[in-house]
Amino acid sequence: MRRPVWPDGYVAPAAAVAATGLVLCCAGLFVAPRATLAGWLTIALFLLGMPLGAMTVLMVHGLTGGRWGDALRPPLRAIVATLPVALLLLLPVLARLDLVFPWAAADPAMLPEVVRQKLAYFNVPFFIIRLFACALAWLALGWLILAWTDPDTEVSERGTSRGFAVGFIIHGIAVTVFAIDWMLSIEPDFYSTIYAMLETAAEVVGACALALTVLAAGRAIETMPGGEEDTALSEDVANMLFGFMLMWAYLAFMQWIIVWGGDLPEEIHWYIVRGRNGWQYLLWLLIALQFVAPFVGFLNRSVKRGHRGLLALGALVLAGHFIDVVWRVRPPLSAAGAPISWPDLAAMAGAGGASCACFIHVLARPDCISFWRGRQVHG
Amino acid sequence: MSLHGVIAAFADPDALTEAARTMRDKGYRRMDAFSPFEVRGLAAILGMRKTRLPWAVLAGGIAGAVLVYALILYSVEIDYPVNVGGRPLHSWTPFTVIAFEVGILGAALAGFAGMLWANGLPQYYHPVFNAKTFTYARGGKFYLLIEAADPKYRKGVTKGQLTRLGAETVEEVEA
Repeated sequence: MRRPVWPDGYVAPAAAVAATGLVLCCAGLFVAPRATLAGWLTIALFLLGMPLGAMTVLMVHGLTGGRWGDALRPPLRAIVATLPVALLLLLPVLARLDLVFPWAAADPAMLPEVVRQKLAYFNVPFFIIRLFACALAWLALGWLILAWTDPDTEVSERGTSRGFAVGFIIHGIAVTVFAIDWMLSIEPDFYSTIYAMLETAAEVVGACALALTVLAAGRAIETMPGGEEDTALSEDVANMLFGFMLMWAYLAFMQWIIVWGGDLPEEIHWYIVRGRNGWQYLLWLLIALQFVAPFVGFLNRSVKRGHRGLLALGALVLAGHFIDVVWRVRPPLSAAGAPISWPDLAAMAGAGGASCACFIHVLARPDCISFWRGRQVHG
Repeated sequence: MSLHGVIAAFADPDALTEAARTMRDKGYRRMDAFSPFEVRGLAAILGMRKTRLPWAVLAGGIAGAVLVYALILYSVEIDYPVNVGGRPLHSWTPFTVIAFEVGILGAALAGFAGMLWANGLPQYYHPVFNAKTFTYARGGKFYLLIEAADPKYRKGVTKGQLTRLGAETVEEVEA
């Protein structure tokens, strides 16, 4: 069997995987609704984090410039274009919020005192209003970012940099609200003021790793023109990803050291849940994939200049980011004893396949992005 | 006075590169070149080794981290064990931060010391400054030095070869 052409030939297989996964998910909703929704929420948050991270990177690059960003722009734009699909993936969870969010449970009297005091913020109507506000802000911002970074149209730099600056502030607020609502509030007794930053950094790492992987898979980024004299462009891109990864590692470690230092029951509980029932192995894997292996790889110049090295680094960090999201979101949602069950895999196939198919399609035909922006493509 | 070697001055970097390549092809090994700015590819022609400074920096970083972690362990476990809020004496979480900081310090120090070592600094005397063409007044050219210790070195022959390669001046350098 011949390998299909990258990237066109991969849309149909991804769509098939998505269809199978979606059918299984529908079955799972009747058999085991809570487990299915838990798996679905995890993968949906991972998939939504991608376009959000890509938007962050594009805005940072719009404000600072640099050749690394010019190289990453096409795949990042394709990732941003998956935003509407990724937002749609959250809708099934809205139907049964009480299954995943303890504060949405029917009887508030059963909740701990500390959670009951937060119910003024965590209640279903306000939660949905916040979600739609964030979604609107992101859709508008994504639309504008795609217009500002369009390679075909000339846009004045001064106008866009002001837009990027304002957009960055709005994006920061929206991601903060979103991270608290959809990730932290799974355990409403826990709070961490660094968490939204941590989530933003993780999203950036994920989007950047995916963009690097796609670039390296599609063509030889290590020989692309545009690097400094004596420094390949691939090295610049890899160094940026290295920087983003270190940022994430720093924030993750800071949250851990502060919670460890405080040693308060309702805080340390967050780590205890994630350090038992098999989740500790996922943590070790996460440290290996998203810190140790890339750390060694990124310090090695020959890896950053070689095609295979870049592909491996991008894929490793991307896998590490996925494990990071699973490790942060999934553990409190599972009953003791069975960390991961078949609905998780079904959700992964369904949502992941759909998003992948969408991403690959946009990647193969960048003019689709213009269509999404509601503009007629000429010629 | 003994002889250190001969030094030839060239007008531009290309001539220097060409001369260095030709002399290396002729079998000369103990050569050195001097130029006001970096000439690309010259180091490879002169047969200079790839820099080993990254390894020195890595070793310095690891040494700094390990030493400081050992120091902390010694002070909390052996020298002065104090129970802080019921935490274990060996609390790796905050210790890692200090070990990391000193690791960076060790890497920076190793980089600085290694740079000096690799450049042979500080050096108070070098025979090449005995050459008249190498002075401030007449300097600013591109120089190739062939040491007298080179097995292929024959005073007259070497000077003739350098002149034929387009050297503006060829001068003997006293040791």
